[in-house]
Amino acid sequence: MISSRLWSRCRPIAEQCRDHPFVQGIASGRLERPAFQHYVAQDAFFLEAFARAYALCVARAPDRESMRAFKGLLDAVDDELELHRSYAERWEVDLVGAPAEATSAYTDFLLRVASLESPAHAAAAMAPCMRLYAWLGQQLKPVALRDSPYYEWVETYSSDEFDAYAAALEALVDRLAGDEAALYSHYSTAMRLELAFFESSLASR
Amino acid sequence: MSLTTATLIERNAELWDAATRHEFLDRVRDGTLPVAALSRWMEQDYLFVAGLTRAWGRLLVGAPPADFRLIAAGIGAFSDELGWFEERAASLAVRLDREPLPEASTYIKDLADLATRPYAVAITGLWAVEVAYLDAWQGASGGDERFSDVVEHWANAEFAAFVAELAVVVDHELAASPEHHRAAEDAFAAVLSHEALFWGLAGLD
Repeated sequence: MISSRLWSRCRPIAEQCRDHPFVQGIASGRLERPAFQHYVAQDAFFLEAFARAYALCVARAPDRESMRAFKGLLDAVDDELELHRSYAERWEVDLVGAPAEATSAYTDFLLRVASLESPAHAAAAMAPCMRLYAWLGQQLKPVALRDSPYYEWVETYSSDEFDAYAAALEALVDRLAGDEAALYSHYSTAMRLELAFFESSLASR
Repeated sequence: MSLTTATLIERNAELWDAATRHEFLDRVRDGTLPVAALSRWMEQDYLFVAGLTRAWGRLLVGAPPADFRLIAAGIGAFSDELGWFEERAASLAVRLDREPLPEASTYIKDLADLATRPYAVAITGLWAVEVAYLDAWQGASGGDERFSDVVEHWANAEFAAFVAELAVVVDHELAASPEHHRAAEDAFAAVLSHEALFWGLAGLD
């Protein structure tokens, strides 16, 4: 399957994300609060762009089945946005600020691909976020401290429900397919942008 | 005079009547419509709903996040609507592989363009599609039982509630952006003109 090959080829970047002090700090609970607050605020910008990119995929889907699948994923990200709002409130995060450079780089990339390229390319650019977060959640779950203030993050992304969304998007990558070199280019770009997103949150302290 | 959903309808009364009253609807209500005419119209409407779903995908791209859920609900409803056509296609002799007639294809193309206009303009035009459709089918309800299940499908309380919720958003957008009033009214009028022509696709004339 294309999606599993793309993931395997990018596995070293996924491991860098897992071992990143920001992610490790979530598991250990030692992450400083301002870094997490910055991350939550930036994630709101990211999720909004993600929803817009899915909506563009609905608009440009090549057939009914993929239109339905993108619509299901759009609903899921809408739910995540809702969850995010209550999360932000609890963490006393101001969602009014501006996107950081690492956030804009990522959202601009996603929206450019979703606007100008095929839905297959958009799916390849969007899949890393879903699969990476599901994988990070699953990797951290057995080692994360239950009393880490960030344990809810680990629970959200290690859930079967989130894994199913990642799988649904990967199924679209596999079904829509296309030139694998181009798909890899987008997939690996998104993976690097994920790493930069964690880096930027840590640097914000 | 401020522009609202109510004043848009009042100020364009003639277009409103043309868009919402038609011999096709009268004959649905009194049960004298030939089934072949309903089938012809439904074949074009199926293509239209597919285009409408895509247009709503584009609408979300320019929407404020607070409206994401409503727009996603719209996309979901239209997507379900396509499924409803597919279920009934065989029993009503509706072919789902027709080419759009010129009136339908122009309307679909105009909606795709409209959806990318400033949000206040786009949401006004896309609300116009729904409110005219609802009013037209409400006018066709309560008559002969022959087509009552079809009429009820398009004139039900859930759809009416969705249209009402949409009107709240349109009123909010119009109040916030007087600079778009002229374009919004033009979009409203253009949609009604398309709607008026669309009933003719049943081929009664």
